[in-house]
Amino acid sequence: MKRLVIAITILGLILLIGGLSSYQVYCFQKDAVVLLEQMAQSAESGRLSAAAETAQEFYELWFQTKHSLIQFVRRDPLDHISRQAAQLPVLAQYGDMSGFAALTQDLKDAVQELWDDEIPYLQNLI
Amino acid sequence: MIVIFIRTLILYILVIFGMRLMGKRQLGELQPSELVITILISNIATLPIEDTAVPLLAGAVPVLTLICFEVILSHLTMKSTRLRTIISGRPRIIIRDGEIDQNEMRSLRYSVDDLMEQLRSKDVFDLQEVELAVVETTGSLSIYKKAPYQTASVKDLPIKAVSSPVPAVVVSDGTIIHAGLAYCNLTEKQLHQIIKKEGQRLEDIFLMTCTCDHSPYIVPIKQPKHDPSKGGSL
Repeated sequence: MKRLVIAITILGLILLIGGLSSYQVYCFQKDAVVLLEQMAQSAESGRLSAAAETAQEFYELWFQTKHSLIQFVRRDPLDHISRQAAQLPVLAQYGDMSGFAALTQDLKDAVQELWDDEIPYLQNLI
Repeated sequence: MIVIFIRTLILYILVIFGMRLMGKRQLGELQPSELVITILISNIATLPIEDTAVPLLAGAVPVLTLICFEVILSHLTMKSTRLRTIISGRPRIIIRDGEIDQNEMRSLRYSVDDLMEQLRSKDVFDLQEVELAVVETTGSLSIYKKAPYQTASVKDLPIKAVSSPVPAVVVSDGTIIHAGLAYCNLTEKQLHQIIKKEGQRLEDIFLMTCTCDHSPYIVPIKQPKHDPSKGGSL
């Protein structure tokens, strides 16, 4: 009976950790998408300094989140977002609008994918 | 490199913990479900060891999940015979009343070579000696010999059998084993008295066993002999 109790407790802990990690990804995804949309709008309306500021904000948010996500998520998608996030402020600073817009969209997709991978959809399970 | 070393150590401890949690049964004969779990664990545990891009939790979570499911499943199968049959199967008789059940052997895909090999491992070289043979759920063969071939026991002989008490280890390499003392109903003081009576010292004892009636058996430590032919100082 002792083993059964330990097993059920461990399973409970696993589910709790799983839930918490998914919640963390969800919160990041929610905030990140808002920032990325702001960036895209600023870039479209030609407000480059505002876009650069938001890009820097996104970069900081990402590096805060990455440290905890690294414990649950494979490194490859996280490294991909890190590389893209590092390029954003520089592109905005030097006025490469087309590159900035493409990278913003790419990042939005990557962040969305990160969250989608956490949800037990059928395509993720099979 | 240090990261890989630490991750390996963590996963090793985790798998050892898991095996202990699954219990002694897991370490002996494996039921089909236990075999599956063991194979899966050994494979999963190597992934985060080899690839540092995989989070340690991605290895630990499936290992722990499998172990926990196995523990829960074994508790459920203890309660339900039907579930036990579904998960582990049931023992199958392949020799009944000294006759081989060929249909059963075919359905088990059990060849004559398999049968003879298993019989030989049970010290049976002649098929005619076997009355009953059962293939257990673990895949091992249990046999019951015909009456003329069964080993005679003390009760079959016209002698009076006296049961002798089972000895327990009370001293190992000069160290007192308290579980052994408790088994023999001995106190440390009594043990020292017995050792003194035998003309020994605790630190000179390699192995000492004792029975419940306090009769000891002592193996003293042998000092390694110095062999001059193997070199060394003069």
